[in-house]
Amino acid sequence: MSTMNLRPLSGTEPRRRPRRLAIATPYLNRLQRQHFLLLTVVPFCGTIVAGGLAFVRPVTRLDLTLFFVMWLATGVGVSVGYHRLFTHRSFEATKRVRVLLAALGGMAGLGPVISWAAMHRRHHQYADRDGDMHSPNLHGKSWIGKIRGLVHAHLTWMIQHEYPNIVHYTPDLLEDSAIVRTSRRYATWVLLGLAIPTTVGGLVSRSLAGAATGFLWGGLVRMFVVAQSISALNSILHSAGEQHFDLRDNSRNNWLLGVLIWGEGWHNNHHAFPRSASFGLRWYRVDISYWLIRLMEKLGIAWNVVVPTAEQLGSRYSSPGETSPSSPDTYPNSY
Amino acid sequence: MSANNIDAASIQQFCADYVGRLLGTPAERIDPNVDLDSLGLDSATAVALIMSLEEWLGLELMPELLFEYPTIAALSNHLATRVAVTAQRSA
Repeated sequence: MSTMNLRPLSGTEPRRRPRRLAIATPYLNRLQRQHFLLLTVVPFCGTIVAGGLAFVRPVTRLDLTLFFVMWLATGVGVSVGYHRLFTHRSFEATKRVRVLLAALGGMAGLGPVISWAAMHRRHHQYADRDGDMHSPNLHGKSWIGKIRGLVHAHLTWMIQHEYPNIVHYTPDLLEDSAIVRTSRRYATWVLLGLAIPTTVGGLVSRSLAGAATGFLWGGLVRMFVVAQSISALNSILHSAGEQHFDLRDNSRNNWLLGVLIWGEGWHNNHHAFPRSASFGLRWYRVDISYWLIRLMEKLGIAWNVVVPTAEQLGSRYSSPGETSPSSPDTYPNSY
Repeated sequence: MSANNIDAASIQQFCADYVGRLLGTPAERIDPNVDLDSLGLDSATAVALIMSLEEWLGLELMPELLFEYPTIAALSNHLATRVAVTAQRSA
């Protein structure tokens, strides 16, 4: 590999024009529509089919196990991998762990890891303001506006949206060749995520019916549930719930979603301390992704786990009704 | 604002370097006459190349260019022409 002229992939040439932070092009919009059809609409249809089928052929323990295992594995891929590791760099890990998390997250069908991380960093930069591609708060204050906002944030934004300039938002990931390779192979992960429960379902039950329901429950229903969970963070948790921190954006906490969505439900906490590996911020708050990160740390495959100090927590905390005097930038949160 | 050092050859070198870095291959092994998607770029990495070129060349570029000019050689020739035209206009 040539070592001459190793300019960073973020581009440090003298700029002749202001850098575009996001682009909207028909080509990318077409890809987004295709993705929406294949990976949002189809899993929804699959869920309806699986539900209907359950009246004819009762759901088996195998089906539910396949669902649960794939839900957990891909959810961890998104929450621990896509979100806490690749978007926010809240810890470091071995190359094998990084590639595994990126692949598991890819199986969730939410987009390739580099695109996802770039979009999410942009979301943090512009949360609930112009530039936030999935805010529920930008369609008007009337109740119709709020409903339109929720639908947008939960679902319809994915049909067509501006694409972040990944050279600007994720130069670090572009420099990581293992992650670029894994990100490029996104379609493979999605297919693998469907093939695995289909094959296991078929082999264990020794039947085609088992393979089919494995495909449905471990594949399509699981994708639907995972996607709905992540969408709920964008819609519900930017609309209603508790706020422990007074921020510019409208992010909220919900303890039940914290339990159900791999710890992501502590969303207000997360927007206050984006770089923290812990979203719960207190030991008693259920945040299984954080516990997994600590477990990996104990096993020696993760390190440099970032959490705010007591002092940083203290300076940002505000009881309901009080405004925090500190600026949003007291915590070193680059993304 | 000097654009007179930027010709098709230097743009081609930039692209080969950049794509090589993205794919983990030496730039010399990137064939400039092979379609970029055959080389292994996906839509995200193709956009990264376009946005880097946009920044370096000071032109607004769209990913759709890669449909018309799908190889590094074709793209570089096209962009060199655009750079020359822009330089003439501002001269």
